[in-house]
Amino acid sequence: MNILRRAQSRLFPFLKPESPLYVVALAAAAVILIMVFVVFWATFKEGLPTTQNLFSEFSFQNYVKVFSYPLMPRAALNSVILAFGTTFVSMFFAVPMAWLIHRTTLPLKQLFVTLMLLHVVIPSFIRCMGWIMLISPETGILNQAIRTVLPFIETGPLNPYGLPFMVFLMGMVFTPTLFLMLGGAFMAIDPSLEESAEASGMNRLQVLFRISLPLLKPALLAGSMFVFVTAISMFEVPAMLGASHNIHVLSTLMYDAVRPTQGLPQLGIAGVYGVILLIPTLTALFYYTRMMKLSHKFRTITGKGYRPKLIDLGSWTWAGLAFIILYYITDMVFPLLGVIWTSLVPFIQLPSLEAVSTINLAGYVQGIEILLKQGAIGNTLKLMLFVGLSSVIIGLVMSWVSLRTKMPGRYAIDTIAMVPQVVPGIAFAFAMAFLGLLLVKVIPLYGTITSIIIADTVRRIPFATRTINSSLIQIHPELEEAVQTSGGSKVLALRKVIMPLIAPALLYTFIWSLLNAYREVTTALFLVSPQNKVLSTVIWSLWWDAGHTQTAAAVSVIMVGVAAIFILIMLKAFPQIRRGMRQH
Amino acid sequence: MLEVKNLYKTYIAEGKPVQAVRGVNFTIEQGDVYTLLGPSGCGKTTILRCVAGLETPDSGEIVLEDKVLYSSITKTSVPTHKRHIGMLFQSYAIWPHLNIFDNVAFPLIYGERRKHHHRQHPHQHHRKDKETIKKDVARAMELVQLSGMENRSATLLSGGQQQRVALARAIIRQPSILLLDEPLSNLDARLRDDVRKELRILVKQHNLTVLYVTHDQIEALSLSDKIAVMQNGVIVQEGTPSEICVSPSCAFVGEFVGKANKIEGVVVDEEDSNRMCTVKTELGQFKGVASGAKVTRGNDVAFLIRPAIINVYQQKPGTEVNMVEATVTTAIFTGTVTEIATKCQQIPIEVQANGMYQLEMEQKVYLQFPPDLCRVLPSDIKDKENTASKAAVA
Repeated sequence: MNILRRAQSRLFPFLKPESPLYVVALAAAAVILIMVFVVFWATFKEGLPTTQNLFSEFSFQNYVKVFSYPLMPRAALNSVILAFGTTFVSMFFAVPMAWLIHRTTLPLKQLFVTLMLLHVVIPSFIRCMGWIMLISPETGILNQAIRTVLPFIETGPLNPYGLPFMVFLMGMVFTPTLFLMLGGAFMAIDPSLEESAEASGMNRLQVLFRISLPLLKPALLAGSMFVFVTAISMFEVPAMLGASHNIHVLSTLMYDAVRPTQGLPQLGIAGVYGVILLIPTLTALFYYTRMMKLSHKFRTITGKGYRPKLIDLGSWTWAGLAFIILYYITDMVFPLLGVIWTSLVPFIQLPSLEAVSTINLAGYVQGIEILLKQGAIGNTLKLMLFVGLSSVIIGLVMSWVSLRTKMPGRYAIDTIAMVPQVVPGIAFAFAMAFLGLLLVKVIPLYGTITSIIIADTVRRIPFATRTINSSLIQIHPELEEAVQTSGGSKVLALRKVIMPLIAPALLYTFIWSLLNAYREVTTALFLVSPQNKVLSTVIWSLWWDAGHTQTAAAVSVIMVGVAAIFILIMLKAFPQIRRGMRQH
Repeated sequence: MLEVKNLYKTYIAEGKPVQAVRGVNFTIEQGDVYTLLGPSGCGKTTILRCVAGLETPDSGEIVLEDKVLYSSITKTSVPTHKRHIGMLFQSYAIWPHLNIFDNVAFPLIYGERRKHHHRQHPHQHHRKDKETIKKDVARAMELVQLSGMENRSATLLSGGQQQRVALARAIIRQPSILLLDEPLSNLDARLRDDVRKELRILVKQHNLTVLYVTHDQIEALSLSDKIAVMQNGVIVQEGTPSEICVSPSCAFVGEFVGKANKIEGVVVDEEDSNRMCTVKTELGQFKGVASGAKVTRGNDVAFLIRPAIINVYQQKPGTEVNMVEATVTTAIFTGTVTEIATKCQQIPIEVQANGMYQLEMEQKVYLQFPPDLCRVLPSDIKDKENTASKAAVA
């Protein structure tokens, strides 16, 4: 080590100990910018990307094709409806739940918050599968049950396919995220603002609607904007509940262009969809920043840790409990039961004595065989580990460079780190697919697990930098300067002082990123190849391509079970994660 | 020892450049405690941080023991961790995840070694062995009177103890210079007095060279060998504590260091050989000694009277020199002195009289200012601007 260091200082005297970290931060920022650039650039290229005509042969053909495509206008409208609808539904559930859990004396709060964290262990596409098993018009278990009771109904009556159920399901999916984002704001309201309103003669409902909710406006705006931006480019739910029945949104059209059922990928066309998706996203961001500028009058919500007064619901307690329990039953119990039941029986049927006699574990046996044969377990572990690690490392380095150094360009790095938050996630998956094909002869990334790791990591950077930033800000700069005046370099201060002190935030970032990589299917699907199958893509192809319902359900049960056990162990071992989760 | 030459430093605050340090020069001799004293925002902390290397100056030169730490001419800037300094921070900056031993030993374990250490131990110059470190830490702990507490958690210490740990950590490498950034400001008032005395003893016993930054005149006067009073990024006066106290060079220093009543006036009778001169003020003509730049007839000056030097009489005394008639506003006996607030033709004059005085409100008293203890100082330009703007408002 010392020889290396001495050689380095002799050969590159201008290099400081912290220079490698600058390079990492700059490289990460460069990758983000390149990927965004690639989306735009691809739209002006026809055919498959090659390195020969990088800077020539531009055309507008892709735009012409997309805008003359008959399915496009309806898909764009559907995307917008889906995004607004999802935002509305998740607000409908999350706002009352945040209020009930943070501001009232409701019992079982701790359990509800834990369930909120467990929500993430069921990936959205498995939720979809569960619901399809329950309410698909012909075979759905619930539909069969309803028809047994009401024999005059011939088909349905429930139907998972189409916008209404898509909106409902995605609203449910985003509720915990929104709940966690609102939690901090709900707890930070100065109770004296509410008490003075009560003292002025308002009743509790008036206080809630005229004082508390208006004060929460910035948090509600930020939360709903996050849901909107994420929902508009959501792929898996519309693909399962819409695309199969010719109900399209922009993201499903984009996927069809990247992975057409026949013919070559039309990457340029996919890029155009990515660019179109940026329009509503940037519009939302524009309005958001403008409203936030006007929000200085909401400054009354300070960072001070108030202990808000808890409201006794009295005889209404049961209503609050019923609301939350009903949410969890619809969100987790129903789809899980659907998947578990399906995993045990050869075909979807009503639970009955006869059906119980057909219960078998063939699905599990077959599922495990397939996982082993395709190397999905190893790939999934690699994906989780490396996305977790690289999110923490890149997040830490970018945060540290932008907050704790005077490096030129540090503000730019901080801003660029937020770009993946605004750019639809699906665009990064696309950019990675495009780069993989383009560089296939230079860097063998195409079809590898590494390409999924890179794309997933880039999508986690905003979350990682925000989490680490908020923790890093609380570390007094003098703690770091004291290392320097003790004769240690800035890097030593990072290693020996900062990292141990913000360890909870790092751990939280690691676990959260790793879980997201685990449940993520969109990126993995855009980049899938026989060599990089992971759990989620195995389930997807079992369900989608092969129609092995029982096996798909069995692997889903395994996937959810493993994640649930993992998160419960983590919560037990590191209780501080729970705190971290509430902050974000 | 430490030489700071022509130091300049500009900040960007809210988009506007702020000149924090504007051409500062000073030298600290081996074994001296040198204090930068001034109100907040005068640039004193910036200078300290430039010496530490935590800030990079715009221009100038900083030399420590013949080693150039910073020079804008040769484009040298030694990074902080390679400067042979020890620093005590305002917040103490005790690392909460390490125990006391690890905090104090940190500079020995991870710090860059001094050059002559290299020569002494050519084969093991990069790290001290465990036994030596243990011995060094024990010695430092003894110095700050914390022996035997090595294994305690640093977060469970009181403010005063944390500060001792921070001090032990700052001196354990035997730095060429110890930098102290308002180290007493976070202690409560009583503890502050004790620590101040201990600090002086410790520093002097071990012949440490210290650069001390504070806004507290009592700390500065009681700890320092030399004080530099700063205002708006420049040193306005440098001298020993008694020089600063007895012979301030301008009204700002006179008022900032020690309490003072200030009366504006014009010189009517020039300095004699003892620098005694006569000043005409609203309250009449006063005699006093000039201690700043030379003043001549017609100069606008400030006439400074320390509250403690004023003689108070309840009956009119014999002498007429520097005598005014005043009305008592309040008189509070604080145990050893009586603090009397008076008004003399609407101008407030504060008096600190030894012993107990029983005075009624509105009572007439006679105040006498001994001429050799009063100071005649060039008025601050800033003060003139202030009075001008006040006049404009009125």
